[in-house]
Amino acid sequence: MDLKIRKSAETYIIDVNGEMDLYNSYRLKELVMKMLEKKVEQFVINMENVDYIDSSGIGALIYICSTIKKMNLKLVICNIHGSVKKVIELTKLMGYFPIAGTVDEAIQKIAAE
Amino acid sequence: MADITQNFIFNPLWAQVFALLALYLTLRNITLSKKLVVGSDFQQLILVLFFGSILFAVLGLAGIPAYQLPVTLAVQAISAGIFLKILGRYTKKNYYAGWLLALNAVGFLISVTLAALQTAWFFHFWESALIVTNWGYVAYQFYEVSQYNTPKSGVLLDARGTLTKLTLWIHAVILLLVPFGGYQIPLVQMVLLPLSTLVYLWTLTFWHRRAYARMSHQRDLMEKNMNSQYEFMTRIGNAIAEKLDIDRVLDFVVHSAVKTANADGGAIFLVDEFDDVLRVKAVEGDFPPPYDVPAKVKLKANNLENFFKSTPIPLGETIIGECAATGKPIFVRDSKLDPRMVHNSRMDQIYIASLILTPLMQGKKVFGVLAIASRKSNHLFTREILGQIKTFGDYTSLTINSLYTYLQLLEKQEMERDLGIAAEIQGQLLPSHLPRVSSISLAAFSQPAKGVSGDYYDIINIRKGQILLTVCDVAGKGIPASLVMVMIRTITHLVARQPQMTVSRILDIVNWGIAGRVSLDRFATVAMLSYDFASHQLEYSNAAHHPLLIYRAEQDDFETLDTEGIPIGLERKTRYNQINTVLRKGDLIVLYTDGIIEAMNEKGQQYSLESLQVVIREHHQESPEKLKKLIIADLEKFVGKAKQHDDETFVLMRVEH
Repeated sequence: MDLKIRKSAETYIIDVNGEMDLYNSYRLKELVMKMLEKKVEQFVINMENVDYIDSSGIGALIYICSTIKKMNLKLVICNIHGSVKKVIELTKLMGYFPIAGTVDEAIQKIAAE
Repeated sequence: MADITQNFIFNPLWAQVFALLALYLTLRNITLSKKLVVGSDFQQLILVLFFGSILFAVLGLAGIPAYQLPVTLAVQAISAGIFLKILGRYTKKNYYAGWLLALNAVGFLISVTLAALQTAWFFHFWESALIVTNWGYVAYQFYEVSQYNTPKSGVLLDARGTLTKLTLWIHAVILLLVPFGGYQIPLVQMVLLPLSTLVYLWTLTFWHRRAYARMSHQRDLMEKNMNSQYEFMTRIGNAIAEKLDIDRVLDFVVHSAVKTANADGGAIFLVDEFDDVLRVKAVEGDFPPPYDVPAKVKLKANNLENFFKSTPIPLGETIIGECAATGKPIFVRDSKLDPRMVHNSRMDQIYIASLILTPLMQGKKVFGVLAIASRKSNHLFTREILGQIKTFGDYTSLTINSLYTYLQLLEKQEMERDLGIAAEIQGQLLPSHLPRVSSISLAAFSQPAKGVSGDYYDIINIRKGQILLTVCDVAGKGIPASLVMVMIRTITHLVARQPQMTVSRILDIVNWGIAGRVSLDRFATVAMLSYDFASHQLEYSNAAHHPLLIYRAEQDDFETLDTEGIPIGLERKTRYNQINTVLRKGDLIVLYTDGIIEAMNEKGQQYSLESLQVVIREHHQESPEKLKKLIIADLEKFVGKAKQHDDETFVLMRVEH
């Protein structure tokens, strides 16, 4: 898994590339925690290039999502597709996660809140 | 012929030997002091012969008995030829002029012989031939000198080349004058002709000496370079061996770079992954910011240092940001001549005279910049130092990359050891035997991927005539996941037997007990059901697990049961629903985890719920134990040689009466 960060106005977009599994999901968690320390307030997690996620990956997303919720900051997860979408649907978390279709929609969603 | 013999005999031999010896010693001193590297003893002997022949020719002209003139000329030609041959061996070049000279010498000797035999016709013939070879010789020398005298040859002979050309012109003019008897003038023959050869040889030798000096200088530099790099590599290796500390490696790198380049100071900047800025990481000596800073900051050294350390540099901005953005080394040899350093003035606190920046790369990604600076305008960095710092940078990149890989590997190893312990805990969790009752028959299967499971199932006799089945999938693996399993199991066992308990209530309590107590990413999906043998009532509650699969024997069809609810462990206040149904004889229920229906074959296809249903429908009349084996066999057949990537668990229950 490879993580890249880019910025659109005040929003930081994390592009996740590769599989999110037991052996690397913690890295996304660590990165977001580091960004929180640096007072980043608006996050978009782009899952466009994630084709596989296991329960640890879902776990990482839940952790990130609830931490950000607790701090009253903003997060949107976007471009969920394929088996990743299936897993999230199965675990009934589609409503739990703030989700948008594309990165642009995610940014708009954050701006609208 | 008689003349030659006579001259030879009447020559005071001792004087000649003495003269040659004196020449030899003089030359030896010259060659030693000027490091004439081609000066092997043999070559010096040849030189002595050459100079000797000129000396004797001059003596002969002055009336002192010496060698016969043509013989002297022959000696000159032969010795110069051999000299060129030797020079050619050292410089790995072919001096064809040497062969032309040898040809010339043969001509001289033959002409002397013919003259002695007094055959006039042959004498003229050979003299003509001689002139032709002389022309060739002169022309060739012209060509050779013009070759050396170009920038392309790397050797500019300058004044020497011009002098050589001048003597060659004199030689050529003499040859032109031959028809008018110019060649017969003793002074011309004895002195001017050898002079042109002498200048030519001297030029070549000088060129060679310079080339050799340059080569040995480069070799010395390279050796020094190699030594410092070897030391650098050994010490960086030791630094890592002592402690796996990246900061220490960086400190060491700056220190070595500054020392090797004899710089005033150096620094390493690291790219901050998510801000797209560079931050100062390690500083050594006196390294002022190589860009303009506010005037206020410059006043105090303390301020300057704080400013430099606390102000990040955006990628692409300033000369350091440029180096990181382009991934290419930057060499500012002289800051006076570089437009990027215009802010730099000699009176300034932050004056830098010479600067080298080299990127630290991981693959194609720049993760930092190594920089060294000289603040003395009389000490500018050279290309050699640039090369060395580049090598330092490359090696540092390599080391840090391996260090990262190693740290990741360590982490993975720790994780694996953790998994081993977890597997042991799990061994204790699963029921050791299934309850035996006449109303139902049961079978259970659980196969962890990679030795440790995130899956857990349990079968509990709640009270007489009622049984509870649960299957759950905990996120993650290892000890934390096992602890969540322990918590689920403990709470379930504790509360399941209480009166008026329902499966949804059990899930509520399990969730309440776990949410907020374990890290949020340790959630679990849980499916739980209870079945009453007498009333045939089944209660089912689902915390985001797969729906319950029921095979209805009467209809020969499948039915799924599901309830709303997010996974266990996320939110304390979650309330779960439940759904009831009545089972009949022969009905079969299946609880499973996603590892079963998502099991993949080598083509990447999934086993799917449909395949599971096909096996169940076909063999529903078999005992659950037998059916279990058939399902496993079918699954294994489908998966083939593909690696199991997730835990596989299922529980079967059939109503017997």
